Amino acid sequence: MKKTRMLIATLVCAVMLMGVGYAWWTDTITLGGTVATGHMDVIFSQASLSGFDSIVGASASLSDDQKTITCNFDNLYPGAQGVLNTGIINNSSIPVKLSNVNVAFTGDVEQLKDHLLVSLSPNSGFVSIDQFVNNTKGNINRLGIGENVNSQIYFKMNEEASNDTTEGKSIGLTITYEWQQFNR
Amino acid sequence: MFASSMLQNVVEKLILGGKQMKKTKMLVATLVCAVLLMGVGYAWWTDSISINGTVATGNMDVIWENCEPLLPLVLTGPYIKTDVDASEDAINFTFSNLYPGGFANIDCVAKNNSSIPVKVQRARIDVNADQELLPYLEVAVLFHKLNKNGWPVLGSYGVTDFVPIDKLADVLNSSSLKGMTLNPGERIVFGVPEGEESPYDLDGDGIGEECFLFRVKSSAPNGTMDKDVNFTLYLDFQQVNQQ
Repeated sequence: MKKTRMLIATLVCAVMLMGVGYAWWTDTITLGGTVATGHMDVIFSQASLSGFDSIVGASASLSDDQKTITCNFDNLYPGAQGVLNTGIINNSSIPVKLSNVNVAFTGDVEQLKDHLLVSLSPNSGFVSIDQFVNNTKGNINRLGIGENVNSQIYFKMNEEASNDTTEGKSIGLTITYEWQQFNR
Repeated sequence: MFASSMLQNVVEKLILGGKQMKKTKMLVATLVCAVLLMGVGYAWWTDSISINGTVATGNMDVIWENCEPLLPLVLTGPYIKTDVDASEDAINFTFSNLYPGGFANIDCVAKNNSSIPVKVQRARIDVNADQELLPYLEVAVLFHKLNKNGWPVLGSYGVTDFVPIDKLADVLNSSSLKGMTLNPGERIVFGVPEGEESPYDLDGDGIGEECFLFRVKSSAPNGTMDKDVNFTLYLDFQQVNQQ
């Protein structure tokens, strides 16, 4: 027998043996799944200023991603005050809660920081920004899905600000609200 | 009568004819004798018995037991959405809006509807996933066997660790699920048997979660938002006497 024939015969035998192996009965069941995550997205809904007199040059703008409000107060003087009208929307697919509020200052911080006062209501007392931050942290324990909270933040320059230290000064501040998922 | 006279003729010719008979004729005569003897043999009384047989094969059919609305049952943490489509051969589900620390489980039962015993040959899994989410999506499986009367089989309870979903088949194949035999009517329940407790209390309510249990790790970063993982887990069964 030639080698070729021998090889073919061997191959045929192998295939037949494989066929015997496959002939056992089998069955399969499947579990198919898709697991998809949600998202977390909290934004400001608006930013506008009101209440400042015409002496004060005040402006507020909202960033394109609606994550940042920038306010400028020019020519502020002791006793001048106004209000920032804003709102917070929870665009997340889950509820969120306020975890922290941070404030960063720039400019003449030392001279002006303690004289820029803030309040959430014109009827409640004005407090320093540091005190405001501490008060705000516990304010929003839960913001539901799609929930919108309107907010007003009143700013005032302390009437007792002295000429020597506060005239011709400027201060910038960035208030950051940090949010976390409801179950954290 | 004819046969016996013919036999007589042959014998006479053998004796009287002697050497005159040719070998050919001798052979013919012998053949005739043989045939005649056979004929005599057939003439004896005969009888027979027979076996009439029908050989019918059984069947092999392992199914997901669907008893809506009880099975397959889905339980999740808050705000997680679910969708389940179940047939006897396949369960397809969607858990959406998961978040770090969120979990969902699916309670299902596989039943041996075959006419023969079967055993779990192996588990296989195909995964198609967003890579950002894959390391943070974990799964654990709890299982046990029920006999055909619905009683848990002692010692059949198994629990896997939480592992990334692409490692699920490996974990199952190294557990007591692989090779588990099911006689006709017996079931594999993916869950905890009576008298046992799940070690996984994910929502802190004092009651452990069970079955096929999926969770997104608490350490999942913001990059895991709006991501998804698709997978198909295959449970292959074979007849119990197959090597």
